[in-house]
Amino acid sequence: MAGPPLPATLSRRRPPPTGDEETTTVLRLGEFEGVPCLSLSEAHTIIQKLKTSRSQTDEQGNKPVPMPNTDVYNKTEAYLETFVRFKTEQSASQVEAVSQKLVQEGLITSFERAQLATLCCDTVEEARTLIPSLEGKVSDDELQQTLDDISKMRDFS
Amino acid sequence: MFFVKSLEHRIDLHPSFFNSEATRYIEQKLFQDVEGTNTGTMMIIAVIGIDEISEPKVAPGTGFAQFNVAYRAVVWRPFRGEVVDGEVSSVVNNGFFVDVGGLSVFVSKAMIPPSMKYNAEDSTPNFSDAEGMTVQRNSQVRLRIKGIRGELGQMFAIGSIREDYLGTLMQ
Repeated sequence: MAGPPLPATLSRRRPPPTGDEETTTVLRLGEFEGVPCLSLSEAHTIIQKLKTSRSQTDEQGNKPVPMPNTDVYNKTEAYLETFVRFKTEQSASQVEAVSQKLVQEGLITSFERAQLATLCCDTVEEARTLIPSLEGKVSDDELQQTLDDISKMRDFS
Repeated sequence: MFFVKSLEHRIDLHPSFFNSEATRYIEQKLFQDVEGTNTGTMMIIAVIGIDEISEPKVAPGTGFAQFNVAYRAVVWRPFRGEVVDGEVSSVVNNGFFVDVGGLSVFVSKAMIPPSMKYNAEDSTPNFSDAEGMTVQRNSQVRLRIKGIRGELGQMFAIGSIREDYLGTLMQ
């Protein structure tokens, strides 16, 4: 329809959904590219630490800030309690150290490292099937060595 | 997958709070506004620390001062193709729902191996196959996220267990 041209829209547009993020045979993390990843055990450790540090009155005498009480937070906390494999801070940091070696050598990315520490695969075949982006990245021997090191830390209590 | 992400949030401060307690108030407001929320693409679980509170800018027309607060938080963001563990929350005849943290993932019959059949006669409805692998309420399963849709405040996802190494977890 002809008519006077519309004035330029001055309000900010909602950022368009990128929609093509995926973690299949290629890793496309979108805005999370290069952001440090945490495995379940590491996230659990951090949240426990936040809980203890926030329950105490800090140096300036301010009252403690309570942890949130929303659905999202409560469900996530319950999920972490159920599914963490490395319950103590010590074992979680040992697992991180062991898997960090492969990242430092530039063989795998932070995301893949966190996946390995979360999923706790037994064999190289399982790891490569569950994390398809590992295809062609690490040698079988090195990957098996890392998986064995991670399994050793699991406590079966 | 959990990340430690740096984010920014804008906070408006009413003039009645322009006193020595202002910084403290802004910090508390940040925690209240942002922790435990679902943005539609990710869930902000907990704020780790505040990096910087910007210089305030008074919005013309109102007396409110606007601050841009930069902070780091533990966030959870699901990705298509990611393998996650979860707990089954309900079973229906064309699939089952799995709770992965705050996200409910639906695994439909087409994404379940054909050897697993729906049984409604036992005490709880379940999917089971001849080898004794059973999926019922409160079972733990490992699934691959096949698709995610996000709207403001909510996320919906579908998943599959129809691949090697997926399905119920041995405990």
